[in-house]
Amino acid sequence: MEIERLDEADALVADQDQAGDQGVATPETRDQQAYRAEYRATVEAAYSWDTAALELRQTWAAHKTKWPSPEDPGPGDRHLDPEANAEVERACGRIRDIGENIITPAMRAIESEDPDRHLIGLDHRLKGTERLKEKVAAELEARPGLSAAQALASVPDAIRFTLCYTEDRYVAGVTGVLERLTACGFELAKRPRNSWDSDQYKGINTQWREPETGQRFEVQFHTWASFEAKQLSHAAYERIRDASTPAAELDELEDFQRQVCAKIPIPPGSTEITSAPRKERDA
Amino acid sequence: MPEEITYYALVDDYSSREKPGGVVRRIRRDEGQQDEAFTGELIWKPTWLLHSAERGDTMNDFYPITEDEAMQIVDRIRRESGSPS
Repeated sequence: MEIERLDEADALVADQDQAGDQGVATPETRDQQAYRAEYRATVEAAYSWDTAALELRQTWAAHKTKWPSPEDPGPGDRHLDPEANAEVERACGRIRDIGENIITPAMRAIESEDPDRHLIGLDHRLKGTERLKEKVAAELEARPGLSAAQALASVPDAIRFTLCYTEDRYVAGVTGVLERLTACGFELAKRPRNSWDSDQYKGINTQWREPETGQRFEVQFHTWASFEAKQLSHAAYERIRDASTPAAELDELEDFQRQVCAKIPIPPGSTEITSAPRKERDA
Repeated sequence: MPEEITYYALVDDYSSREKPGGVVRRIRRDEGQQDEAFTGELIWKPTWLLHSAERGDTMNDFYPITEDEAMQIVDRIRRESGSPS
């Protein structure tokens, strides 16, 4: 399949042409008192999270002492049959090409339009082959009748990006990027998953489709605190996924995730973001 | 605490709420909880897909269903695999 290669510099120029108000800093409209109150709330929330993060790291260290993990947990008991294995390996090169030549340049261009937009963890934008196989294997197991090709095609995060904002810029930031991605021609493959009211995870995950190739990719929206929380609880999540983890430890792992989430400051208005941008809704 | 089971319909790109693609159950016991999926091998096996969705993964949607509804999905999977229910 031939892929139209989008040059990064060209993409930037094209996107600036379409940027309109998106590429311009928003003028300050709040009065001084409101601004100070919001600034104080943001600083206090950030301070409170920093203190909590320190304590949560200690809690996790204590958990690891109580439940030492195996030296090498190994690949688990899920394996793809040779045909499915070959299917995933063949697809990885194609996914990498689309990710590196089409989607990543577009995401970088979108990031550059707004100084409040920060793509983080970009080195991890491509899911590793083994993790992809693991995900396809888990899906095939829980989804009788599905082919490996179908499972692979519906993996949303073989290519993934994370955008971070401060609490006060979060809602405008998310809304702006949803609109920009749609304006760039990407299609929202599913309704955004807003987890700001969840007790296990905080953030918004969105799933997109590149129209020419049909390749899915994921864009996660975090605040700096929710991103740090995700990193902080990642090892707990890995243990939850491990089939050899004892059931009693699972409860404690979930409890740890709850403790982490409970400390994350909630950006104002974030729980109300549930819909696609207007262009997508009206389609 | 007696064993408590919650069933979930698994809905993905190739299925719908009317005809879910699979079924997952969360079992809570005194010694902790475990998630299991009804697999193509026609047995329940541990799965992390529900946890993955709770952590924001958008690949599958999970909807709580009754035990009767869950058993209907199990029966359908058995029938489609050619196994007697």
